[in-house]
Amino acid sequence: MAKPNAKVYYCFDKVPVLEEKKSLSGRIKEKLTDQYPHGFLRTAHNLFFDKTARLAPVYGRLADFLEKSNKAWLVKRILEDPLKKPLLSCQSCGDCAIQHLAFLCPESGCPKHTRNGACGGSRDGFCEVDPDRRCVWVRAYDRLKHCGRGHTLGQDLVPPRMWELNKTSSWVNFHLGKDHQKD
Amino acid sequence: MLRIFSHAISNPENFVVTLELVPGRESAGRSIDTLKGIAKDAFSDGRISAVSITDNPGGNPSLSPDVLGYEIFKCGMDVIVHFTCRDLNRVGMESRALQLARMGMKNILALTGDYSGKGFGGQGKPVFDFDSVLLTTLLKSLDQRLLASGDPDLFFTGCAVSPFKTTEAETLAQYGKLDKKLMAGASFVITQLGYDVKKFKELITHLHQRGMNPPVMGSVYLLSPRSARAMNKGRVPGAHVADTLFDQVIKEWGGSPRSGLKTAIDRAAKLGVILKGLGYRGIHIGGIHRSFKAVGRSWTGWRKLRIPGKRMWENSTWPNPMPRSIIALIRSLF
Repeated sequence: MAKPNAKVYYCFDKVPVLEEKKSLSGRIKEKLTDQYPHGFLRTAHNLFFDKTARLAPVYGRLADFLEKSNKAWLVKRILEDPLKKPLLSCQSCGDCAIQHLAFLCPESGCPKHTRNGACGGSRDGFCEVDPDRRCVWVRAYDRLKHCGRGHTLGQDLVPPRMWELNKTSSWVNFHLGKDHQKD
Repeated sequence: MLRIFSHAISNPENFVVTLELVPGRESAGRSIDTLKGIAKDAFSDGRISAVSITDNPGGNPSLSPDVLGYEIFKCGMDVIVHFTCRDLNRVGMESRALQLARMGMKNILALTGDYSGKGFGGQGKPVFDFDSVLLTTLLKSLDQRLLASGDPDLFFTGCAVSPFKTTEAETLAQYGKLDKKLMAGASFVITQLGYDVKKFKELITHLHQRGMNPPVMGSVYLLSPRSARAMNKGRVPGAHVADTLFDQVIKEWGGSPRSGLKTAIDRAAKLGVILKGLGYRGIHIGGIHRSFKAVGRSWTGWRKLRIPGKRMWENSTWPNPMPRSIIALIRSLF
């Protein structure tokens, strides 16, 4: 085995990059801030936001009823906000894109709100704008790599955010086919 | 007014050279005259295919590349306009793209852009309604409308990539986004500024592995101590100058500015040769602020350059010793 290269990662290099060994507190922090929330949100997404799921038509009819009776805001206030604000610092864009970013929010997590991949400004894994914060795409990659899906990072071509949905319930919008995932 | 850049770079036999011009925060005066002078000299010289003009670099307000570009374009020089997503929403961006099309300047470098810097009264509001992938898609969709309105001269959109990332996550994220930009319709690629030859090679290898062969230009910069310090400290987003190179630049300029500039020109020339050897289709020269002379000298240096041996390539200019395969490749060029 070649000696690990201490600093720089090269895609086609046979020399592995020396990974920093994380302390116990670092590993616990990673589990609490990344691995557990990722697992929880991924499971919830697969249960409630999969248009091919058996219960999807039920959710669709429920969303339709709420929209027609002008009660969609209730879902947002009572269910969506209390869950998504603490977990994701949700900005209520109404056109949720967390599923493209390993269940991290591009609106609150990235100063440039990039939905299609990292900007070129990051440095050693940290954000160009806030150098104390890890780049949201780096965090997303680590989350995906942990469950063996690192290669799927940023594969989707995400359409522009729909500003007409701002401050509305992204859950209702999804089931009504109003957001960017309508197709 | 000539649009030669797209033809020049599309021909695999050409090695294209473009110059980057950085306007300041003035609408007239010496700095603007200097930039126009550089562009005119480059046009007279005949070896430069286009000048590219930055769009509020660092997020700080500066003269619009559209107006300066148009003045240069009218003189005959082809222009690449940098188009960032920071200052305009999608409505403003489409309007600007239509304006550029109307003015005939259709070489666009589509960028997400640096974050907002300070303008009148403080930091500006960052817009970032789109990112570079969506901007490229927008320009491609405008092509259809240009055709429908009877204009066969379409946008020639390029993109940037920053291969000089140190972590696995950033590197893969950069290449993933590059693939998307190319799929969205980018016709050429310009790298960010860096001095790691293995990374330059990595980019080309990645593209070949993906079965893509777009024209790629490497950024080359005449490093002064001031610019090297800014890049080393991370004050120029995306640009990377390693500690070893920074120390070397300081040492080179320590004796006299003249010898420092000469070494900077030599380094640019050497990097140009290496990039050509690696399969890059051109170089994008930055850091020209006073006159076109330095570019001419870099060119001459490049032509005269002979490979003196492995040692030169293994000096501390580069963060890592250059692999033997690249040295052999460069040797084979001469």
